[in-house]
Amino acid sequence: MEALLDIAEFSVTYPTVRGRVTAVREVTLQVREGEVLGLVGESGSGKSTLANAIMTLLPDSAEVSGRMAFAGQNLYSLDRATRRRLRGNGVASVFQDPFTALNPVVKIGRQLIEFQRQKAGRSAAEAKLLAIDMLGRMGISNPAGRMNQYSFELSGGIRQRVMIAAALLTEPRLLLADEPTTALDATTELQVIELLKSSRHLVRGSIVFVTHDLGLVAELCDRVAVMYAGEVVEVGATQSVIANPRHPYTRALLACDPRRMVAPTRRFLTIPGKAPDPVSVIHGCAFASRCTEVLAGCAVERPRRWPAAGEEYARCLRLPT
Amino acid sequence: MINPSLTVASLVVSYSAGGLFGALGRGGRRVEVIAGVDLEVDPGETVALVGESGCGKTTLARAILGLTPITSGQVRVNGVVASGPGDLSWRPIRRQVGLLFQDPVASLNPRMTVASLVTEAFRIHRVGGVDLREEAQRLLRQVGLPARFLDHYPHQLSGGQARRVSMARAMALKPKLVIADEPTAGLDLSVQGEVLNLLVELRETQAVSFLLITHNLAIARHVADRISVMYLGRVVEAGPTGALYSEPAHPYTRALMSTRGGMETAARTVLRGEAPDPRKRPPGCVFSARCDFAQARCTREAPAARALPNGRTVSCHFPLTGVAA
Repeated sequence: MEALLDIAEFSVTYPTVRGRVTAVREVTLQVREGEVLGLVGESGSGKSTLANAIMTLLPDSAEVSGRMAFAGQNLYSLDRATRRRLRGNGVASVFQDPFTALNPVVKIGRQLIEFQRQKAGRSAAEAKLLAIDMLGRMGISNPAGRMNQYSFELSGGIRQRVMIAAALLTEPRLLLADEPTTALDATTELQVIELLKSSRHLVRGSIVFVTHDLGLVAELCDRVAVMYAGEVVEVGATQSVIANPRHPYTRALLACDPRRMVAPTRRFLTIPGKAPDPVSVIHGCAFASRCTEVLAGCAVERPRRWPAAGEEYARCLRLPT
Repeated sequence: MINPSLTVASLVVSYSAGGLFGALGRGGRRVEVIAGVDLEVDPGETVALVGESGCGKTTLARAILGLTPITSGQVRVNGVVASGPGDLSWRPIRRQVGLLFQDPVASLNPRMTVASLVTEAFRIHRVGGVDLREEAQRLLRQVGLPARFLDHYPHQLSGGQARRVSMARAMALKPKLVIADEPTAGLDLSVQGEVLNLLVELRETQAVSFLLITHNLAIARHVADRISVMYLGRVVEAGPTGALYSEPAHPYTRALMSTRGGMETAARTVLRGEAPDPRKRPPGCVFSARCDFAQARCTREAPAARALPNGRTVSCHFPLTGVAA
C-alpha cells in the first residue's frame, strides 16, 4: 500500500556560529493511510524538527536533503506557493500549548468558521453548524454559547478540545499532534486521551503524535518511531516495540519510566552521559557512548537498518541477535 | 518528645476579591486559596503533596515560609513558630528550611558563580566563622558535582546539573526540612532518576525531611512515605502511600489514582467537568459536583476530616474504604 507520507534518507541541517548542526539525520519513515504513528524522543532528539519539516514550517536557514513525499509529491521539490497550498489542504496540527495557538482577540466561533472557509471552502452558515456540532462531540457543554467566548475565558482542557475540534473540522489527510496533553493536569489529560480515542473515527486520514511519553504512545498509537540524536533508531508496531524493544536506547528509556515499575523503588534507573553535541560529526552509532551493550565497532561503524527491507527496523550493530 | 519537622495547623490563606474597592472596604469578599489545611512531616520522612494546578500546593509552600501572608492558622518548623507578620519574624523558620524552586535555572542568578550561589544562605543569615570556599566544595560533593563546577555560571549547566546546584543551595545551612516544588518538572526521563536518587540519598545521609510538591503521581508513589491529596485548597485525604494508591478512600483520590502515573490497574474514572472556581466555592463538599457517589448531604454540609485506621484521614461523608459497613 502506498504510504501517505514517505520519508527517505531525509536530513535537516542548520549553519550556526559553532558549525553545522544536524537536527535530523537520514531518517527513513513511512506514515500509512489511516494509521496513528507515535514519534517519540527526549529533548534534542529532533522530533520537533522532523514534525516541522512535515508541516513545511522549517526556518529559511534550514538545509534539507533526501525525500519527504506527501501523497506522492516531494514537498521539498515544489515551489513555495504550491507547498503552502498543500499544507493548508492536507495537514492540520494540534500544539502543546493551545493558548498560544488561538487568537486571543477573536471569538472561538469566528476562528472555527474561518479555518473551515479557508481550508474546506464551506459557507459561513454551514461552517457554523459544523463547528457547533464538533464542539458538542468534543464533550464541551453549551457548544453554541462557547462560540461567543474568547480563548482566555477557557480552561486548558477546554482550549485543547477547541484546538482538536478546529483541526478535525478541516478534515485533514494528516493530523500532526505535538505533545497535545503534556500541559494538562492528570485528570484533564485522562479526559483528553479518552476523547482522542473515541474521536479517532472522525479522522479519516492519518495521525502523527509527537511526544516524549512512551506510555501515551502505548495508549493511542498503532506504530511508533523512536528518535535519538536526530535519527530514527527504531520503528515498529507499538505493542512489539514496548514488549520487545530491539534498540538498546528504547530498552533504556522504558527502564527509566517510574510508571512502569510496579514495585515501589528508591533506586531509579537513568541513562548516564549525555546525547552527542549536535555540531559534532558522528561516525558510528550516536548512542554508543551511553550504551551498556556497546561493541568495539559501534564508535566507528554506522549501524544499518535491520531488517534492510520493509518499513520496520532498528539501527543497531548487534542486530540480528 | 521529638518535634515534628513541620506542623501546619488549620492554615488559611485568603486574598481580597472585588478589585480596589473590595480591598479597601471593610468586610470585602475574600477568596480562600488555602481553606484550612493540616499537615505534618516527621523527622526523616518524605511527605508528598499532590494535586492539580490551582489546588493551592505552591501557595501552601510559600505560606510555610512566610512568603505569602497567612490569614489564620499556624506554621511550626522544628518547634519554631513565627511570632508575627514581617520578614524578621520568619527568619528563624527560613533558616531551618531549604527550598527547591520549580524552575531551577530561573532561580539561579545568572551573574553569580556556582560557589557564591551555593553559599548565599551563609551571607543572608550572617553565618560567620566558615570558609565559604570550603563549604561550597563540601556542598558540591554532597550533591555529586565535581569541584571544577565552583567557578561555572548557571548558563554553563545542564538541566540536571542546575538541579544539583539548587539542591546544594537548599542544603547549605543543614536544614531539617527541604521543600521541593516539582523538582523534576521539565526533565527528560533519562535524567529525572538522577535527581530523585539524589533526593533519596540526601534524606538517608543527612537526616533531612522532604515536603515534595508534585503533580507526578508516579514519582510520589516511589519516593514518599505519606501523601496528602489537595483539592481546591483543602487536603481531602492523607495517609501512607501504599494504602492511598491501592485503596483510596476519597472519590477524588480514586479518580486521581486511575490517571496515568497512578496505579492504572483499576477501571478508569474520567471526571466530569472541571474544578470549581475558588471564588465560587460550592457549599458542602467542594468535590460534590463532580463526584459519582455524591448524595444530598454532600451538597449541603462540608465534610470534616475524619480518622480511618492506619493513620489515614479523609474528608468525605461516604468514604470508599476504611469504615465498617
